[in-house]
Amino acid sequence: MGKFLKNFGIGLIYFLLIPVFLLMLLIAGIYGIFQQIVLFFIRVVRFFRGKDPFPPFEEEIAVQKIKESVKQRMSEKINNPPQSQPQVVIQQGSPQPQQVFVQHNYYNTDGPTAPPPFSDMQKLASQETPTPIEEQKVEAIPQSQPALEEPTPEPIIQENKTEPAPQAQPQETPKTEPTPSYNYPNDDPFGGNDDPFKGLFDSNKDGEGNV
Amino acid sequence: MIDITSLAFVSIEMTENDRRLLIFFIILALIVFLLIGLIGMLICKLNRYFGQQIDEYLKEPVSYRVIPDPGHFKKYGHKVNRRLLYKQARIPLLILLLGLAFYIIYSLVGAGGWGRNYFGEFCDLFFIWDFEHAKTVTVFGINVLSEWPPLLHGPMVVAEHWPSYVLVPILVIGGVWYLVVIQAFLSRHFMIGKRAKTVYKKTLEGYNYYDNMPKDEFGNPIDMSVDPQNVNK
Repeated sequence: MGKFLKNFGIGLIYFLLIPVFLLMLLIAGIYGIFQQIVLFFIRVVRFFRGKDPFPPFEEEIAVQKIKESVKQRMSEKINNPPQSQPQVVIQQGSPQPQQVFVQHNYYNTDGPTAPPPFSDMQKLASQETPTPIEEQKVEAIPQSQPALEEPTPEPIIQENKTEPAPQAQPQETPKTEPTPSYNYPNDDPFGGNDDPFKGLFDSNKDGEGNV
Repeated sequence: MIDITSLAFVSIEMTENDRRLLIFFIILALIVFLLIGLIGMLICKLNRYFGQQIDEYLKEPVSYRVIPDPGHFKKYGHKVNRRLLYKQARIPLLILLLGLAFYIIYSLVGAGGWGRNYFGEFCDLFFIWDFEHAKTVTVFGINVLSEWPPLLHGPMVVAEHWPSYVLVPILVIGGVWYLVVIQAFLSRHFMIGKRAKTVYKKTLEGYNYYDNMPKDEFGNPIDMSVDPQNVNK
């Protein structure tokens, strides 16, 4: 009701200022007509010179450049992933190993690097009686995902994190192109800090990272 | 006869009919007052609606930090506004130009010359009442209609008035459209000034120094920026 009365009062003022608005409309209308005539001739001249009748402003060009550079950086990040991904080396002459990409299962479960689920963080935060850290008993974070299945003995799983897998027989291996170095913290458009909660919930952990 | 004595000891004598008319005029004045306020609110809302259209063109340069200060913001905003006015006013001005060309050609070629009453002839298509010869009554010194005036004519089409049936709609459509475009231009003009103040406003209202700090197990903020040597200063 208060807002309606306030708007009503402003409406009364606007109604009283109608003659001023009409005068401003008249001036703007005459300005619009002159602008149309002048810009019409300017556009015709630009058209016959082969130029764009509505050239973009400097600010629009700057925005376009920034957008393109951001797109380029994002596409570089997608095309050149970081070196931590494992490389599977296929040996010629040997039977094709049944490749199980352990990494995919690894990141789907709660690994040591993944943050705990939000419900567990709420549980930790809701502990009412603050006690010294040594005496504090914290429940183990439950595993919401099923545990990793042990690999079958037959498939050969090779995880190459930083160095190639040891080869028992000297055989030719296909040369893979070295992945370009990606200086993650410096080249990342987000400044290398894409995890805003990193380190915020480590207060309950001891020096070894155990809760 | 009813005798009303006011606080100023002025005696006002009114008949029953006068009392009813007074109540009617009070209600009418309230309705007119309400209508005035609502019309003003409508104008205000239209101004805000048209003014917000400029945000679509200024959002990207501001969010990508291309425009760093209010002066630059106003300059760029007015450039964009003038270009928008040009683009939006092309069609209604073309329509008005067409109407003007029709008027000039018909005045030179047709009957009636330059002083023909096109708008009066266009009223053939509406109901027209004879207000000049209507019966009135005087109330408190004001002449008020006592009954509905007689009907002069209903909607009709006169073949000789065909230029007015063509010209008047062209002028009305073009005129109203151009008026709306000009009003939008003025609304955007004022909105640019308003946004230049609010977008670049620096304020500490609602800001709390300790809001974004990490907290310890007791809920107290861990302030890493405090220099122990300056604590007692």
